[in-house]
Amino acid sequence: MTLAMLSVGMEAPDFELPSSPTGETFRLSEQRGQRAVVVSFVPAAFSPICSSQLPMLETMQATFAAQNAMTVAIATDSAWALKAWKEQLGVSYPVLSDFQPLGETARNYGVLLEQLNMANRVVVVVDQMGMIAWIQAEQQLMSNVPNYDPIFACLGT
Amino acid sequence: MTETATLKVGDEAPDFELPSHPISGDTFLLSEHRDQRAVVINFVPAAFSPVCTDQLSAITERLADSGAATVVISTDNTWTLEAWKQETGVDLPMLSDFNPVAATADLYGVRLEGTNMANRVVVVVGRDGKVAHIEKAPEVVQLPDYGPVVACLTG
Repeated sequence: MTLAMLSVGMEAPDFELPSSPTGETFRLSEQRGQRAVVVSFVPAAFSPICSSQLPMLETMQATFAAQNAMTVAIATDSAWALKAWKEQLGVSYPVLSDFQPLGETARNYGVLLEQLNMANRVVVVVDQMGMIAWIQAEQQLMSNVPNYDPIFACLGT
Repeated sequence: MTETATLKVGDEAPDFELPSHPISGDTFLLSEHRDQRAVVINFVPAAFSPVCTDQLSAITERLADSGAATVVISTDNTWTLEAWKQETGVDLPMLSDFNPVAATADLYGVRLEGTNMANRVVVVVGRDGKVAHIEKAPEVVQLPDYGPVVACLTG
């Protein structure tokens, strides 16, 4: 699978994004050599599909951890909106704000829906070496929760 | 404070049409209110931030009986604004200036410099469609003074 800018085997573009409204950030490259990172781009906080996808990911945390992987979600909403959304959903992993500059990380990954200022629903697996190991883009990106099964398979190999 | 980066009292208020709901397609068009009622536009930086949430209470308290149409504008997406509205129980149009981001905030000269957020500024648009009052919060983390806003509406 390839996106406009990315394909499996390439180095994942680094990013550093706020994980809270009060200054904490998550930097992808800090995980290099430590663990794989499953990056789930989602279109909008508080929208119905995204609000089912994030709790589903939460239930998979132990499985990901067993495979030495962590998950993050990224949306183009502000850090305040994402904090409230996380609390409402009971999500423990980082939910990162791609709001300032708007959609920059989504654009670097080729998943920004420019007309909407929202990220498409795409999962990118970055392996322990910082390389793209898997890209999961659904057929109907705005309407389906992604299937994470192939991602577990990818991490297991 | 009687002016923003682009507007002063007496200027024609720039028209805008912004979505007020994520699904219904409902929008708020400023010019529809001309000759009908005054409109109080409350620009706020971010839904779910503590100060903005306090401000909603102040708006409800001070402007409920004003006879003006009262709206809140932030650069959040419509889904977030709808969730904020439900959580706070505030029954005001919450308008999304998200796409293109801060376009209306720029028209009104109230973008918080170097960010994609609006500054905390209240603009009163008279029935004649002209800017009747501008009230800027002393600091972005403080509430604007609604006293002069109410005075403008009742004066």
